[in-house]
Amino acid sequence: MRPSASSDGEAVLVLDGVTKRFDDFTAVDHLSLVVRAGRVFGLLGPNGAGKTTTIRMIVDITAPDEGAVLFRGQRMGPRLQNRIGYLPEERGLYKRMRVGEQLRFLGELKGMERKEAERTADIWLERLNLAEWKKRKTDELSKGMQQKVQFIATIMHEPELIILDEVFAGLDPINAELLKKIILEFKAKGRAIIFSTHLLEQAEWLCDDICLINRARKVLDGELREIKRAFRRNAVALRAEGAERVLDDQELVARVVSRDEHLEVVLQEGASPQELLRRLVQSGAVVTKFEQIEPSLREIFISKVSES
Amino acid sequence: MNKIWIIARREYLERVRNKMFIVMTLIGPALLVLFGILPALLFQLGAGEAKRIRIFDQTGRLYQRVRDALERERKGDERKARSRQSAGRYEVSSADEMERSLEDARRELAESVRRGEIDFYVILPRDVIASGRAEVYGRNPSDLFTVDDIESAINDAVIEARLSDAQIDPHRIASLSERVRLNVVRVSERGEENISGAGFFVAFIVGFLIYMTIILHGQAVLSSVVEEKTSRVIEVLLSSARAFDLMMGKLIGISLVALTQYAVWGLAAALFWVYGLAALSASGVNLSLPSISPFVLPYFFGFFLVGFFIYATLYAMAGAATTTTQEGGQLAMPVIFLLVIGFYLVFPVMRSPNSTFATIVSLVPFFAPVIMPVRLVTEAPPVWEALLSLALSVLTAIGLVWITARVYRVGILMYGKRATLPEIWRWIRQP
Repeated sequence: MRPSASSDGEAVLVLDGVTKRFDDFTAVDHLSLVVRAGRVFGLLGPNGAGKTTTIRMIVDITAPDEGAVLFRGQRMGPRLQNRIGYLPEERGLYKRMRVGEQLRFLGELKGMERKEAERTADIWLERLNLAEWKKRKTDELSKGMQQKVQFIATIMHEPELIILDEVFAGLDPINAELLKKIILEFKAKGRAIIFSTHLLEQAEWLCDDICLINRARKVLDGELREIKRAFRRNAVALRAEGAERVLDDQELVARVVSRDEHLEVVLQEGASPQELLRRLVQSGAVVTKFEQIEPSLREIFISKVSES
Repeated sequence: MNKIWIIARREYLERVRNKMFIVMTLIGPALLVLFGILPALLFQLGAGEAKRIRIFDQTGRLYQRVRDALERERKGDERKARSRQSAGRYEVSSADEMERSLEDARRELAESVRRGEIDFYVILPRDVIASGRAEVYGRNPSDLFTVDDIESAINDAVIEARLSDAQIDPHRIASLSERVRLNVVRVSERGEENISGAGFFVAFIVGFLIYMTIILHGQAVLSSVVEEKTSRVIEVLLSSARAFDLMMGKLIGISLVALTQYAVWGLAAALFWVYGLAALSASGVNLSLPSISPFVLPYFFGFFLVGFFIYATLYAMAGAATTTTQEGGQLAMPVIFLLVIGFYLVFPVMRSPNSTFATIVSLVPFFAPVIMPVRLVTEAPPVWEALLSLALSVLTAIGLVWITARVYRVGILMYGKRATLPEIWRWIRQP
C-alpha cells in the first residue's frame, strides 16, 4: 500500500525494495516507503524490527544489499549527507568537549561555515535554555540536557530531512513539549521528518504518515488518518443518563461493554452512530459523552501482526 | 577532503589543549635532563663524609705514598677524572705506631671498624712490593669506588717503590708511557669533522625518540577510536562523513600533535644550544654537543610520519575491531612487537651502520622508520638507500591505510562484541 495520494508534500525520500542482511539474518526485507516534505513520517515497530538498520541505510552509514535509497531522486551517497539530520537512538557526544565547541564541530561536519555554526549553536542553546552551559564540558550536563544538545546538532544545519530515533526517550514533559514544538515548526517550514519509535502512543499525536514494520518487513503504511478510518470499528464510547431503553434495542445495538469511564456500545452491522445519537436524544437521555471509538495504533498493530 | 581537515583540527585542538599534553611536552625535556644528570648528581652527593682509612704498613716505605695518592687531588686523564671528586674524601692514618704482631694489629683494627672509629683498614704485608698482594678490610666492602681508589693508590705506591728499587726515575717512566690520544674524524659527503662519543648517544636518542613517539601517539589513536565507539559519537559522525575521512582526519590530527611536541622540544634544544651551552662553558663546564647535519631533519620527520602512519593505522584497526582499550591493546600486541624488535635492532645497527645487515633491516618497512634515521645520523648511507627505504615505507603505509579503512568501516559500528581475526579478514576482502 502506498501512502495516500492526498499527501500534498513532494517526495523527499524514497526507499525502493531496500534489503539488508547480516550473515544469514535479514534485518530489513524489501522495504519500500515514501517520505514527503512538510509531513511527519512515523517509522514504527517493536524493538529489533529493523528501524535503526533502515535509518542507517537512509543516512548512508551502511549500504543496502539490495534496492535503492533515493534522496530527492538521487541515489544516497556521502554528498547528500549534509542535507539530512540524524538523532540516533544511542545518544553520543564527545564527553570531554565543551558544549559550544562540540556543536560547532558537528555543524561544520555538516557543511556549515565555522562562524555560522557558532552563531546558530548560540541561538539554539538560548532557545533550549542551555546558554549558560555553553562553556561546560559535555559530561557535566544531565542526560536530558545532553539530549537537547544532541537535538540541536541534528537540526542546526537546517536539514531537508530530519530523522529522530526515540527523540523523547528520557525527557521530562516540559522539554518533550519544547522539542515537539520545534519539530512542528520544521514541519511547517516544509521539512520532512522521520519519527522512529517503538512507543506507538507517541506516534499517534505527532505523525501524519506511518509505516509499521515487524521482523524486517513492512506490515502496514499510509496516512495515519486513513488507516485509523479503515480500522474503525462500528462502536461508540457513551456516557449518558437514561439511555438503557435505547441500548436494549437488539436491532441497533449488538452488545454493551462497561469500561471505566464510559460504556462501549458496539453497534449492529448496518446501524450508524448517527442513528444511535438521534434515538438517544429523542428518548430524552442526557448525553455527556458520545464519541466514535477509533482503534489505537497498538490495537491495529496487534491485529495486523496476528493476522499474518 | 574538507571533512578530513575539520576532523583533524578537532582531534588536534582537543589534544593540544589537554593539560596532560601541555605538562608532558613542557616537563618532558626537563625530566629527560633530570634523569640524565641525576645519577651524576647523586654520585656526588652520595660521597658524604670522608672515609677513614687506617693503613698497617709492614714495609715502612709505602704509607706516605699511599696517603698522598689518596688525599692528593689527582689530575690527569680519564680514570683520574673520577678521582677528582674524591678530593677530601679520605682521611688516612697510619697504624704503624702500634708495635705489635700482624695478628694483634689485625684484631685491634677490626675492633676499630666494629666500633665505627674507622671505615676501612689496609694491610700492606712485608713482601707486598715483590708479591703485589695486599688486603683491605671494611664494614662496607661493596663501596666499590673506595676499594677501587685504595687499590690504585697502593698500586701506584708499589710500582713507584719497585722503580726506585730498580733505580729508574718514575717521572721518566710516566713521560715515556704517555698514552696515545686518538682524534676521531668522520668522513662524509660534507667533508671531515671531529666527533666525540656523543654521536653514539645521538643515534640512540633518535631511535628511542621515534620509537617512543610512535608508541605513545599510536596508543592515542587506539583510545580515540575506542572512545568514539563507546560514547556512540561514531553514529553521528558516520552520518556526516565517510569512515575513511574520519580515520584519516584522526591520523593527521594526532600526527600533528606529535609534530607539535617535536617542535617544542626542538625549540628547547635550540635554545639550550645557543644560551645554555654558553652559560655552561662560562661556568667552566665544557659540554660538546654533537653536530647533526640539518639535511637529516627532513628525513627524520619523513620517517617519523611514515612510521606513525604504519603503526597508528594498525592501532586504529585494533580499535575498530574491539570494544575496549585493553582489548585493542591485546590485538595490537603482535604489531607493536614488530616496533619493539625494530628498536632493539638499533643497537647492532649503531655498531656497524653500513653492514649488509643494517642495510637490509633499514629497508624493511616496519623497521625502517626507526632504523634508517639511526643510520642517517651515524654513517650516512647512500641517498638512494634512504629514499628507497622511505618509498617502501610510504607504500606500506598507504596499503595499511587502505586495508584499515575497510576494517574501520564495518568494525566501528560493532558495539559490545570483539571481532575475530577471520571476521576482520572478511571485512578486508568484501567490496
